[in-house]
Amino acid sequence: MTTRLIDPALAPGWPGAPIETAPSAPTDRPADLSATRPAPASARISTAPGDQTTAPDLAPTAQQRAWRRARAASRRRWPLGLIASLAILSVVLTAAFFPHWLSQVDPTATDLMAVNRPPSWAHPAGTDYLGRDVFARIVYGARHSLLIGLGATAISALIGVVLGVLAGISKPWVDTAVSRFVDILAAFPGILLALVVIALIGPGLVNLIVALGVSHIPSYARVVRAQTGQVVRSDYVEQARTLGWGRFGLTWRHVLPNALGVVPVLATIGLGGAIVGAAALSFIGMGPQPPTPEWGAILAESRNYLRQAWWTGVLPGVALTATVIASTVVGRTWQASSERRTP
Amino acid sequence: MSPLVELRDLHVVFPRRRGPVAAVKGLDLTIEPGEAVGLVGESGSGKSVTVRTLLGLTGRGAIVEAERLTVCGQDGLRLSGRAWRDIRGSQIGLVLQDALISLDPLRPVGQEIGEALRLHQRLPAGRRRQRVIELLSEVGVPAPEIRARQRPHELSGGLRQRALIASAIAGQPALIIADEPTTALDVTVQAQVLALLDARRRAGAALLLVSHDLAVVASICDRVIVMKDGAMVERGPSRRVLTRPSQPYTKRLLAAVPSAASRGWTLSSPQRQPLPARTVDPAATVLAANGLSHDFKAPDGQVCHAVRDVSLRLAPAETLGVVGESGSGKSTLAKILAGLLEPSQGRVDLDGQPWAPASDRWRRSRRRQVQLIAQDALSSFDPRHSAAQVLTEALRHLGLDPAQRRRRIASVLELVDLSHLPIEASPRTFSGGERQRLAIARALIVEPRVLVADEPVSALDVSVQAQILDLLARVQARTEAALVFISHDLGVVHHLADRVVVMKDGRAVEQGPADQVFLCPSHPYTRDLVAALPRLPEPAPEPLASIPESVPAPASGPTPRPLAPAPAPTSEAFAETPERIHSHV
Repeated sequence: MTTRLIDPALAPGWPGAPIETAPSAPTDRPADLSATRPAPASARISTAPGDQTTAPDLAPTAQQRAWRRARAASRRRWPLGLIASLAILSVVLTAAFFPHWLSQVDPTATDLMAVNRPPSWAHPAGTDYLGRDVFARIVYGARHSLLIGLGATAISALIGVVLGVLAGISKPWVDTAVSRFVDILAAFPGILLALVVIALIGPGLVNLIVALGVSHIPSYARVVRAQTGQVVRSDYVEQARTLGWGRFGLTWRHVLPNALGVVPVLATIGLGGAIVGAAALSFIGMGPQPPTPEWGAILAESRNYLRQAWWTGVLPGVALTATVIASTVVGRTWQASSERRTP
Repeated sequence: MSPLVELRDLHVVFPRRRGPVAAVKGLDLTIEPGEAVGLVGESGSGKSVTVRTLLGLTGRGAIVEAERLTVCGQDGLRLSGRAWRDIRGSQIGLVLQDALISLDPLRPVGQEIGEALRLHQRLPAGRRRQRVIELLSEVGVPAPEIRARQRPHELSGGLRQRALIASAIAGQPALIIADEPTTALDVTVQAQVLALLDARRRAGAALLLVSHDLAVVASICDRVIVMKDGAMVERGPSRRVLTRPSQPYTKRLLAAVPSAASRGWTLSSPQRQPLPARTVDPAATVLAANGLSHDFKAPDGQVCHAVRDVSLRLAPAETLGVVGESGSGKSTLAKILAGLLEPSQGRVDLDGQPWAPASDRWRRSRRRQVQLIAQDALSSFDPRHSAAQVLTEALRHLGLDPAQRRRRIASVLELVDLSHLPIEASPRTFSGGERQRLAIARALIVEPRVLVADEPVSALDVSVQAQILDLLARVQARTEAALVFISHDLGVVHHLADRVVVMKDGRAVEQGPADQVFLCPSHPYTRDLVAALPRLPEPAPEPLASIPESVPAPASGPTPRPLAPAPAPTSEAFAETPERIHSHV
């Protein structure tokens, strides 16, 4: 008996015949359901083409057919994108903490005899205009890029959470004051705000982290404020009030744990943005100074040689892009699963 | 004539990560032209999935198999998406539960109905507009020319539901499927919508009415099919099934329906037993509200009077029912009584001491005396807490040592029949009934004087509702807590309450003993409410002999009820006098 979807237009992604590989007739289903009916299977004459295996009186019942198809469709499929992203992130983390595991070459050692060499066994990603090993620079650069990303994310998450919770649980005028301040921060494009901060405190690794951190505060503060407000007005907080809990107890026991559950998720998604921001600021010379291997700085240095030696620019760019996409994919997947879990 | 719908051995299975889940397991269903069939079942019985299968809308991934699935003369197992679209609307019209989400919020309802017409009939635009107006007036919408230009949110629930029915019948389908069409509606509106569906049926359309409410189905259907867990339990003419059910499940379902006749008796046991007795001393007062009003300011600056000049009095161990339709101010009243909202005017006294308006500091130490039981139990639990945490949290301020706490938790869990519960699990893993029991346990664990229950059973299936109502009655007899029971369901309130307050537009229009209010209502609004209530057909006497003809004498007026003596309070803390509590404030 061939099987058919009731409405192929409404059920995309369901291939017509996953049946061949499906296990045979169900045995764990209660048999009494079909037993109460006047044996429909034996009375029916199968005329479907392609039905060579079963004699008419052995044709599966509707129940057996449905279960066979459902079993095949129930099989778990692994999310490839997530696995690839986790793999990329673990490689990047390894590069950040144990760069010597991946490359034994000194990323700052110049070799003017081997300038702008294409990728080879000796130099898997080629060499740049000073003869430095590009692969080693990418590997050692991961530490700086990741450090800036993590540091900036930590700063913005911390300040953003404090502002957001404050606005969410306080009296209306405090809420208004905090929210307007956050609005002012958000009114500046992130990169511009970071530039303003760097103009005030000067370039360098730590200053770059601070500048990026400040520019990302609004996205955390706003989400945390909304979450806090939602929890404060929730039924369970109201119920806890009837049990005699005061404002501090409510905030500590119910509001903070429930409102802040979203922060790690936001931070994972935000990490990608922070890394891109860091690379952008380094690219225009506001970050760690050469010869420090940092992805943005590497890109800036390679700019003039793209015609002669594409690998000096493209390969670090690929590393940067892959890291950002991977952290975003992991963050989004986490977000989706935490949204599914909360009612 | 051939049947409109013929299902034989229908199976619908949903593939899930943890293995397939069967929603419908071998259902047979036939609908002849012009016939009204009721499909009754509790949640999870597969009735909505069945309906969607008839429209080819089972959804992504659903696996549908049947020996026969004939819909309007076509083989449903072989239909293409295009062919299903031709069937929907023109041959089968669907009316869903909530018109607010079933209608496009951005489009005037007239346009929405016109759209339905355009798909199935070729009419010039002018003629189509005229037809929309005709349809709206056919379904009893007053001033259809104006209504057609309004958007769904500008219409009341009843008008919205009518507009939805108008769009379902626009293509003049031979079959109308109504899936819980009145569940979100007030009783008076429900009666109108049911009358409207019945009128369509008399005009020649067949009707498949899906509902959890036996009385709704009884009111307009010729035949009933009772479903449970995806399979049919019983079928037959509705009068026969609802008066002389042959299956134990149907019998239990019918016995679980609360009404005037079930007053004073248990609902959840197969044989009705008398509920434990309570003594109500009408002279004593635990909670008294005087001239309560509450005004909200709408965003547009208009003042909305949610509660207007409501006065009520509650004796210890008494059950006060508050009934009213949506928007009558019931929930606002509940929040004021629970001390969560300050009244704009008037006052509430608890044990002779001011309770509202009062400062939060003054109220905090006495909060546990008044406990709230919410409609949606799950949302009243912190999503991160386990059942054990939910209960321990309630005990925080009582100053008990861990052993006492454990004992208190064990005894309250036993009281609500949850001793078997995995207490370290999240309430999310519990069933609806278990969640509501846990919510009741949390309210009881602090030994309150007053329980305020806001629609505590309206989200539950009738058999679970029966268990919760029995539990509330039992608990109340044990603890002597007074209960304010707020509900839109007159049957439930009549079953449970000693006295009743009827609310309309924020006012208490009628107050009195339950039997007096429901059996001989004095206010015209109460009379409308009672008249609109759909009823089950009168049961035939012989098979239901287990249900006594005479119910216990209802509480009436000021005389104390001649019931059994009060049982001892459950624990020492409960016997604490109000004076002792106030002394350390």
